[in-house]
Amino acid sequence: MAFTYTITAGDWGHIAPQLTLLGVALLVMVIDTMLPARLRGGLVIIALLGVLSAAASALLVAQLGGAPSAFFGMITSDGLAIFSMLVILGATALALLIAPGYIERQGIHQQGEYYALVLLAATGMLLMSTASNLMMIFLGLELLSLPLYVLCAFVPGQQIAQESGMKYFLLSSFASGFLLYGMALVYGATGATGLTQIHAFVASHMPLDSSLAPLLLVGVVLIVVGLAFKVSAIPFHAWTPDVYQGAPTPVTALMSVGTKTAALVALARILVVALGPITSQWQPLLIALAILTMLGGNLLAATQTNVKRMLAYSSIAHAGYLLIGIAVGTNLGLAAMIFYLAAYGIMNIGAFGVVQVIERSVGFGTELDRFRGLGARQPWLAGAMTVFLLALAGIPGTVGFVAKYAVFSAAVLASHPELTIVGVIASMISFYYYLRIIWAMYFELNPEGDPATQGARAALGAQGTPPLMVESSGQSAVIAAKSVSMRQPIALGAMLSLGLAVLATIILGILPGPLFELARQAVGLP
Amino acid sequence: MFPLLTTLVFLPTIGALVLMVGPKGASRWIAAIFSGVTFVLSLWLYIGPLVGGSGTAGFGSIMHPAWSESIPWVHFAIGTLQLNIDYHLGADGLSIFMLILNALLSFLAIIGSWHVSNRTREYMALLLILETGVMGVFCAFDLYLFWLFWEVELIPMFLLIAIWGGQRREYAAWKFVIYTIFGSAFMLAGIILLYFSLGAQNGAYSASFSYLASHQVAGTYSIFGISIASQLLLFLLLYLGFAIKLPMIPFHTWLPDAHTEAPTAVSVLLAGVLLKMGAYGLIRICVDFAPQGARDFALPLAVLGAINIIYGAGCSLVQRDMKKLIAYSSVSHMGYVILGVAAAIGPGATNPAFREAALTGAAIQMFSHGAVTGMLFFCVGVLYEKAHLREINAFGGLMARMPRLTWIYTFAIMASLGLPGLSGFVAEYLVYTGSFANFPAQTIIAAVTMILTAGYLLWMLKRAFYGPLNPRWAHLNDANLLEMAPLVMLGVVVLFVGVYPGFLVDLLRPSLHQIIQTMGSLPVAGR
Repeated sequence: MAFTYTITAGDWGHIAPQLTLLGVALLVMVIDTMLPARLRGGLVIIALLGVLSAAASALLVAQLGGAPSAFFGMITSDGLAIFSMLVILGATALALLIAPGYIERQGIHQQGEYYALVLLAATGMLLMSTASNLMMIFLGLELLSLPLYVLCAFVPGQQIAQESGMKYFLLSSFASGFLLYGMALVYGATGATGLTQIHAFVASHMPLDSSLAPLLLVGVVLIVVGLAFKVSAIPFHAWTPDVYQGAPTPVTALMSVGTKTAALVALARILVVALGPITSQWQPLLIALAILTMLGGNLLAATQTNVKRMLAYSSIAHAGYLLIGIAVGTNLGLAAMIFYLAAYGIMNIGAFGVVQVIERSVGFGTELDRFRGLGARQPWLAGAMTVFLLALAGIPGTVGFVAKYAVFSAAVLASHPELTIVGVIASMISFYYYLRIIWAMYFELNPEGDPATQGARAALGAQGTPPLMVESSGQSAVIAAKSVSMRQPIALGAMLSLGLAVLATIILGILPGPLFELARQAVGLP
Repeated sequence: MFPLLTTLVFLPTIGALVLMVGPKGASRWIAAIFSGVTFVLSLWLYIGPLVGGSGTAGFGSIMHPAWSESIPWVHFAIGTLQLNIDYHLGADGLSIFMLILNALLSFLAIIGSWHVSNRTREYMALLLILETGVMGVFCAFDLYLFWLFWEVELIPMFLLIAIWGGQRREYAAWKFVIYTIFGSAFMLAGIILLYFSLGAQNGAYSASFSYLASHQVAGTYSIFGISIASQLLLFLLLYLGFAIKLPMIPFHTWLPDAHTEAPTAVSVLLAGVLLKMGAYGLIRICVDFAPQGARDFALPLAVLGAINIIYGAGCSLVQRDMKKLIAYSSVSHMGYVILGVAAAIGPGATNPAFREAALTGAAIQMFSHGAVTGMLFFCVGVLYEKAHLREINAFGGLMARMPRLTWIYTFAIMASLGLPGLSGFVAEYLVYTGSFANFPAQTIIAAVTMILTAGYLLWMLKRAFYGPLNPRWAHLNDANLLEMAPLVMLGVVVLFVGVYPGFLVDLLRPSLHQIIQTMGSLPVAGR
């Protein structure tokens, strides 16, 4: 069979954002070798410019119009792709902005590698969210994972960082195996790896007969397992808290948003778009995942005493809300999900941005105790954290509320009230731990003060030393001795990033209309 | 028109703000003045419609409340998803009498807390904020607004128990909050579900009470493949929040702890108005918005109500702590409300007059229990202030030292056990009359429990106040004028309702009649 392989300039144009990021990543590495050590901090500016130009080229691709498919249907640049690319690039930009001060404090000297790897990971995320072929999805997944393995273990000389990188590497490779196996089975069943072809095949073979159904459905289950791992849905979440805690906080922020976006968009493309005809087959699986993830994530988060770990569990819980968007299997659900992703990106990176200011050494110094009295010490920082936490909890007036509202109402309108019920109950549980941080920041000014705060402290269970502190007591004692003041300086970039995130959280909370309209158009709703 | 309801809701909050900036020494007086003015204004809710000329029909029902204030608040649409929340306050008969009860009890709670010396200013401010929250619950006419006030009330209550409570105050406060939040999570889920189902069904999204009461959800939901009638699911979701507040067995275990640990005035408010929020929600929200679901659940509700009555009484019988005894008697007495509502919504072709009698009885029981239990808690509070002890067996013969307190305590106990001529009798009699037609077995259980009620109350009275004086308490003084004031005021109310319940019945009739009509229009279950 002859196969002529011609690539047009238009094909390259469709992947302009990915190419831009890739080019800038290489550029950063080259420049890094030429710059004297004291100027290497400036690399972040190049990386940021790269991300911005990638975003600009994504918008250009959207303006270009024409058929969204490129490279023989390997890549698509439809509305969903553009929207998710912008979410990922926005998250990358915010995560880059909070990085410089942090990596200096953590004693990371290989700044060139750091920024290059972040850009490469972002490239992988873009590729995954624009892929319209199972092979490309896998390629994107690997391209985003490999740099992240390194980044997770990036802080030198820290056991927790190495544990983080190693754990992520081992478990993620394992999950990739599931994914690949599932893809192989789906290919075996349908004879295609392109999502459009799979859709056509499945649609023409409805109802599934007994020779096809087992192969296809087992394949789908394995694909869901592989991607649920990346989304960190319960019961495939066990790696998340350890990895998130040990990774440098800006990387955690990027992972929690970017990886999730890429994996969810890929999952949505496979399930809702390609396997839409057999929605009733995969839907129970997704509903179960969503319910487990929402309830489990929030319940586990409620027991944490380390804020970074708590946010890791909270990001698991949010994965549950996001999965609702896929589980309902409607376009409105998808629109709600990508809107939620944008909202979640803003508020979650903001929250991690505050955590990185407080954090002493990687994974430590973010206990709830350290937030006590932050409202008096650093009112602006505490104010920003309050906004992010309220948004994550879903308080009206913040973008988090709109996002939850959109997802829950999509579930009711698709007649899945159980998802709404569980979602609302899970959100109420989440109030407890988000408000606990706010309470600690504002109402526990004077630990040995009046009976009111003492009572609240005892009741909050904030007494005693968290287990993680015990393990590293020697190390944290050294760190504590080094820093005299509890007041942390905020780097300019972090200030900018937090400020932008606060503004976006509030403005999009009050005027969500235009963004939601974009999300609706992205999934092709009128 | 003068925004009376808004004033009633927010005047106490303004009072709390004035308190915080005002002179420290005057905080008791400021709180008393603000809550007193609120109480006086609240009376106009009752008098206003009467002098308006339309007579007792003027109190209106949920569709046409006598008092109504509405300001558009949140109107926000993203695509087809609309969220409409209005600042809509309203008051019909059912709301009016709970609003007046709340204003009265809050005022008396402040008078009754004159002796509080630990952080008086904060204490009074929190009592006033609590009053705002409860007022809001009773006159919100928008479901989201209702939920908001429902949550607002939690914060001051939590702090009042956690800071000024007894030995195990933190445990009790957290238990109270966790139980309530657990319930309100389900309630919020129910609210959202109701709002969207109705919106998708009728094309208009609104959470205003009149809209929800005039449009009912139809069809079924499928939950994990199991199909359940929409209204039944909505009823259960909404009711879980109210069942915890009521409290209904088996969700009652927060109540003895919270009551026992809370300071006196807070116990009074807890029993007097906060439990009524659950009963009010059951009648106003569950029954009005999901009538068919309510009817489907009527039988279990009646059984649970009967269990509440007898189980609460049984628990009271074995208590040694006077306050705990009264707390469990609250569980028992709130069972009459549940039974009354169940009888009113029950299946079967019952004469509507019986339904209305049962519902009226339930509503009067809300009022009566609020006033009577308020008195009982005030009495125990007075005694505790002097003796610093609540153990029943440790007292004895207190009549000799404190005759005034003994008399008023005896009076309250008589009202509580339903002596004819006092308010408890009216309520219980109406409930029995109405519920016998629908649920004879449960009614008989409830009626027989009156013997237990008389038993535990009179036995406590005998052990603590009569018999020979325990010499340990020879130094006690009788209640002074300040301590007697709230007791006497409540006593007058109890006596008045007992002798002339007509004014309450008139007040309630239009709004309850509307509910009975809705229930009457439902298809009767196949019998």
